[in-house]
Amino acid sequence: MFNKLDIEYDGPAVDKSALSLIASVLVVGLLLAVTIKIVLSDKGHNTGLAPLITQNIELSGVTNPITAVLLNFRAYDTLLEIAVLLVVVLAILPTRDHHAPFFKRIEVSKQNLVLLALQRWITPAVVIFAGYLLWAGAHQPGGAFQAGALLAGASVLMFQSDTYQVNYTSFMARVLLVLSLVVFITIGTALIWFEGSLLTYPLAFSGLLILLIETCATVSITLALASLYSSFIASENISVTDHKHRTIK
Amino acid sequence: MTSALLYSMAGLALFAIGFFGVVVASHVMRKILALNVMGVGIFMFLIALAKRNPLVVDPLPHALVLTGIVIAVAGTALALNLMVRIHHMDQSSQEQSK
Amino acid sequence: MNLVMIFDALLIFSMLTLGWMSIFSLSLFRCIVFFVCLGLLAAIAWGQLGAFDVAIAEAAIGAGITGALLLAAWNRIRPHRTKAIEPNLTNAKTSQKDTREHV
Repeated sequence: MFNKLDIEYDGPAVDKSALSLIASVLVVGLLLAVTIKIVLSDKGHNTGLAPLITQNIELSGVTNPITAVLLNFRAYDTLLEIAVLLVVVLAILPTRDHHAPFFKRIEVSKQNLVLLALQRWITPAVVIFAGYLLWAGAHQPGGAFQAGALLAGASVLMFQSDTYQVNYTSFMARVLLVLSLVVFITIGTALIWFEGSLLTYPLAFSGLLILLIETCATVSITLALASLYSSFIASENISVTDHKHRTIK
Repeated sequence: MTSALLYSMAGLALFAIGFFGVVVASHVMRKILALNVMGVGIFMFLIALAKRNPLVVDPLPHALVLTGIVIAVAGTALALNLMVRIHHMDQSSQEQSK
Repeated sequence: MNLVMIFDALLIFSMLTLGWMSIFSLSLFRCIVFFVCLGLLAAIAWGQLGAFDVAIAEAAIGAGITGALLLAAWNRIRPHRTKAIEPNLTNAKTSQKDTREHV
């Protein structure tokens, strides 16, 4: 700060970096002081909403309390979350190749043997495990988001070699991307006729409806996350040079 | 000092590190990483608060955090896309000015 | 102070260190790798706190997908120096110090 004494200095009188440092320290200090006060004043007898959830868990159709909260008690949150994910995908989706097929296999002359073996062995196992997670989400830790994330990870692995290509602007991909939102909204509004209010499941069918919504959500989340990844590797012609660099290595 | 209190303090510290990074970091990608570190701190604080009673675990913050993780990755992807676009715009304008 | 508390303290200390290093490391690549490590440690921490659903999601999304996204974006914005490096590499074989740097 005091390295050089410049007598004819006529820059700004206030150092911007020091100001931002002081401001950040002040804001964080205030936040920390308030939250530490709140945390320390809590004596550990507060159980939050846990008793309410355990009381009503029989009405939800599932026995895993987190799935019950996500898809029954606070289903609005999940609905809007899927909508937010769809909006982000729409924002970054390339606007070309409407008529190209949804799924395409390309013969690549130079194969990476280790990657190929990894894809062959890991991907089927991941798909089966994702199905298990989706099914087990009703009564154990697991559910649509975890299954979708796992499947998206498997698809990221599949994209590493250029053998498989998915066109996210084809009609099929669009249908699958909006599938969960459409199913969720349709079920939610249809329930107004039967039960009288939005997203109130009838007791006998709640488990089945939750499983249906979760399955559609898994498909949509998988495709959404995979398209988020592919937006970095396969858009515009700059990526052509990137591919060349990768195959040289 | 219970472990829940320990973890909530750690979450606050992570939040502070991330906030400092957002304000101070130079590169846009570092700012995005700092936002993500902030997010991890907030998630840790929420999950630690769900366990402040050692006998009962409150599932509601867990569901909120699960929603938050997915939203965080969506926001990160959007920010990274904007960063890549701005970078390529800068590059092409530099090449034109040469 | 029992073993679990010591484990918690170590976990938190390494998470804070990784959080700092994932922002202020020298190269962006290291930042990304440290952030992925932070995500994995966070998954362990959620398991310690009894949030197993969140731990699965964090391990798959926070460490897996976010790391892949960050690396793909980094690959798009880094300066491509392949042409500049190749002649350097042939020269570097003569000098011990240069090869060590490239490794």
